[in-house]
Amino acid sequence: MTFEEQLRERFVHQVDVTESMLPPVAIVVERAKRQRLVHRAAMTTLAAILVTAAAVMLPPRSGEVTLHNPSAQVATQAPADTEEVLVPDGIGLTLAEAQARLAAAGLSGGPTSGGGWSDPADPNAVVVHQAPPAGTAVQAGDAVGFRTALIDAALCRAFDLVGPRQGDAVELARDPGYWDALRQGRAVANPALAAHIDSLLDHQAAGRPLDEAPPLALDSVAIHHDACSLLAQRAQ
Amino acid sequence: MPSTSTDGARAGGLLPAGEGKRMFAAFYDLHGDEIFRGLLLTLGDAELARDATQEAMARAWRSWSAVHTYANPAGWVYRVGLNWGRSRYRKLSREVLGKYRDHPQPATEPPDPALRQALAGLSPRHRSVVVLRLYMDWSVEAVAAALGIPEGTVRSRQHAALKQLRQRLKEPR
Repeated sequence: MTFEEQLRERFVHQVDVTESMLPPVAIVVERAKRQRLVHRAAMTTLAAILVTAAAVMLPPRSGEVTLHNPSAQVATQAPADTEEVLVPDGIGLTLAEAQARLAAAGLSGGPTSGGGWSDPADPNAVVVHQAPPAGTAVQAGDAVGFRTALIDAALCRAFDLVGPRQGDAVELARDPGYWDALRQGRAVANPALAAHIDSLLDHQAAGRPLDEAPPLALDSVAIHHDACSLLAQRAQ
Repeated sequence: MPSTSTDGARAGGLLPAGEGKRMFAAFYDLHGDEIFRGLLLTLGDAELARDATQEAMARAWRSWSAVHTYANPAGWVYRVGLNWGRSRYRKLSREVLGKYRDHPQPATEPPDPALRQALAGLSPRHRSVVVLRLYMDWSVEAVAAALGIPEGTVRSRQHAALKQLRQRLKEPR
């Protein structure tokens, strides 16, 4: 029995003796109602605070009537139930296009700090990863984080040497084609990706095991490879 | 295995009156236990896992018109439960212990204390991947969608988690 199979058996043994004791679904539905009431109360309070602050801080324009009793105004304005929206798909778009799509859905978004895939200000960079993923239900106004990269045909041709992804990054690296793909990709990659590829190549040249390679470098190559695969599928 | 989008999905997620509740009840019956056990392994405490499962299922019901159209609604529920459970535990541990703790001590000793200890030693990110892959038996694609991470990251975290578990459980490679 492999270690993974033994581990799976231990997991089953660990949890199967514990009763879930989950309540009937009607209890869960009641809990959802209470969540909605709490949420509405919080939004009502927040709206009251914002409207009062605006009435106090903003000077009236000429001809406008000054509100002498802003709280009365607030009391008559029942706020709309906070809208839930589905995160749109930004993969493959430029950052500007992806942000426009978010704005149309009532969301905000921008580049995620860290990762070092590419300079998001580069107009040729495209979104290769987003969080939350497309289709996730979020509240209107929530933010979505994007990672961008300079994906072009030359890079994707280089990475295509590896073929469809099989197994994990360590298994993949046992294929000699993976290292040829990295070297060819290095020649056409943007500086951020090139630096990650260099660290993997240095790691390999030093004879160190790949599973001890910098995870950020492994992730970077994996994300670019996955983005190329995804864009190729969409083009079919 | 996580459920795929059901036959009951309609354009835009709209459902006839009553059908939504029936679908959700069926989903709850089918996946409630599985998600509870996955959260139990990941969070390390049965009471916390129960509460997290209920909270996440309630949120799923609130957004059912959208959630039921997802390719992996169970994955969505697991992730919401995991985030809620971790946030709740951090808040409670600060209030009760005066400091942050990542993993609770269970009220009763589980059947396999060494496994519990080994899992507690993983980072939450690695723990959730190895539980979803090995215990829930979800595909790399399903785990990536559930956790909102790239598939390559699922693979590399699984590899790193298994390596650590081998060392902690003193299994030969």
